[in-house]
Amino acid sequence: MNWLKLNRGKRTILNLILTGIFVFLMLWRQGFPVQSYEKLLQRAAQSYLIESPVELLHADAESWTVYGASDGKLLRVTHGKNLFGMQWNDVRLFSEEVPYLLEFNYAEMSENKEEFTLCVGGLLTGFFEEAATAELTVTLNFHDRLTGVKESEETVTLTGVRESTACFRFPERRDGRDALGLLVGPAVLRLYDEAGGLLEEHTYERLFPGTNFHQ
Amino acid sequence: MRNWWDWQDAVIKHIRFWPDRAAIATELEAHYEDHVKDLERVGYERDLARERALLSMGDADEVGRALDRAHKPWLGWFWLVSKWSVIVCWSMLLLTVFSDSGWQYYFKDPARRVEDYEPDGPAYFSEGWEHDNAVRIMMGKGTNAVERCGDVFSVPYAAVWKCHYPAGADNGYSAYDVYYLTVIMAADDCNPFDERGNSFTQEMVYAVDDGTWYDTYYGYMETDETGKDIWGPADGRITCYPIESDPFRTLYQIRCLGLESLPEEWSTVSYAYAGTPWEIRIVWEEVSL
Repeated sequence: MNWLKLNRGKRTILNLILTGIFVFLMLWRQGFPVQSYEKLLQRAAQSYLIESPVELLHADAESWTVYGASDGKLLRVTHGKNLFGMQWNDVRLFSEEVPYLLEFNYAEMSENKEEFTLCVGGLLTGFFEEAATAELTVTLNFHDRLTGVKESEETVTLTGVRESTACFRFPERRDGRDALGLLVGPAVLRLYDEAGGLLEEHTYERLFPGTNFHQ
Repeated sequence: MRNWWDWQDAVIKHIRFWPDRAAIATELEAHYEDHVKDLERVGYERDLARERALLSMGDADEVGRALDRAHKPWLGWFWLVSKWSVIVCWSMLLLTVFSDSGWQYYFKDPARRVEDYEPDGPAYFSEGWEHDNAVRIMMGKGTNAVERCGDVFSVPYAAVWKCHYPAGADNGYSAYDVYYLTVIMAADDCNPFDERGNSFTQEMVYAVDDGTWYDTYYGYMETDETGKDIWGPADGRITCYPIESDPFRTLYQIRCLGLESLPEEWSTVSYAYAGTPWEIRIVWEEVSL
């Protein structure tokens, strides 16, 4: 085919065909990013040869994470997003002994680099058939940033807000302190039923930023 | 029309697709100049040649309208957009392809489709004493295939290698035999355009017909009443990881560096951690030495 002999219309068609091929190759190279969280979860779950996972929650605002479940096991998928869609980065399937995952975070906020605000919050995701409320009591241990000697200890209680059948959110609690030298733990998680009766209590020796789980 | 430039401007103003105006003006001028030279060659004075050539170009408005019909704006913009789309997409593709050298992996080591996956010795020992002294004593093949998540899993090859370690002259060790297991599991991709993760390889189990089984975990389980730590669950260990891959097939190698017992007739490779449990049965034959 002599390119110079093609008229403008045929050249346009050829350009469109080439564009289609290049876009397809780009998408193939990126593993065909998906558009929905359901597809993302399905794609990631195939890493464990799971064909039909159930989506529990997607938490893009916090951590670009999607939570799912399969046969009583929790699935946690982290993902990225670009122009073409979403791609999963990491997937982990927890055993049946892990009924929920606590995403704990604390961050230091500052508007003027002189005064700091410590923000503590979290997200609890998992299987909560009977739980109506959740409470997280966290011990904050502040250490001297130079010597490492413990200076003070503070106990903070966060009340979980039920956001869905599979999720409690612990809203950020702000405090006028910085996070340097902060170690978190121990912490106690309590789940209550509608009548206020204690359903479950679990103690974490330490809480780390990110996913915490117990068995 | 006073001169060429006035005539040319009168033509060009009719062409709505402005990106073509410069090219059309150049072509018209080239045509005009050629005609002027032709007339001068046959003896016309320069000014007269220009005047006659300009007259022969025709009416500026008619020529302009005809050129506008030939250079449709909608086709012109469509073509321009398609041209830049090709350039942009080609640049993005180059960046996508060459920003990650992993793409070569797909085609550099395509997954083999052979009868014997260890023609030169146990795959784990590509060289060294074990490679030179191990003897293949059993070969096997999967009797069934399993489809999961769009891939078909099978075992095209399995082997047991025996390595005889002679007695140590200096350290007093007596001679002993070690049996190495290699299982090649193939995942044939029904959809070459997807890319599945390999987390399931961490949960594979290999079981022998005498009841012994091995999995990828060799971790602490509990402490017994005598205070001894129990590791397992089977006190055996296998590893499973992908070795070769192309868009249509991925080969996984399951290996054990110390079988406790040899299969009499069959063994299985299974996965029951998630999804629908499955297993592939391997039938064995002794290899004549």
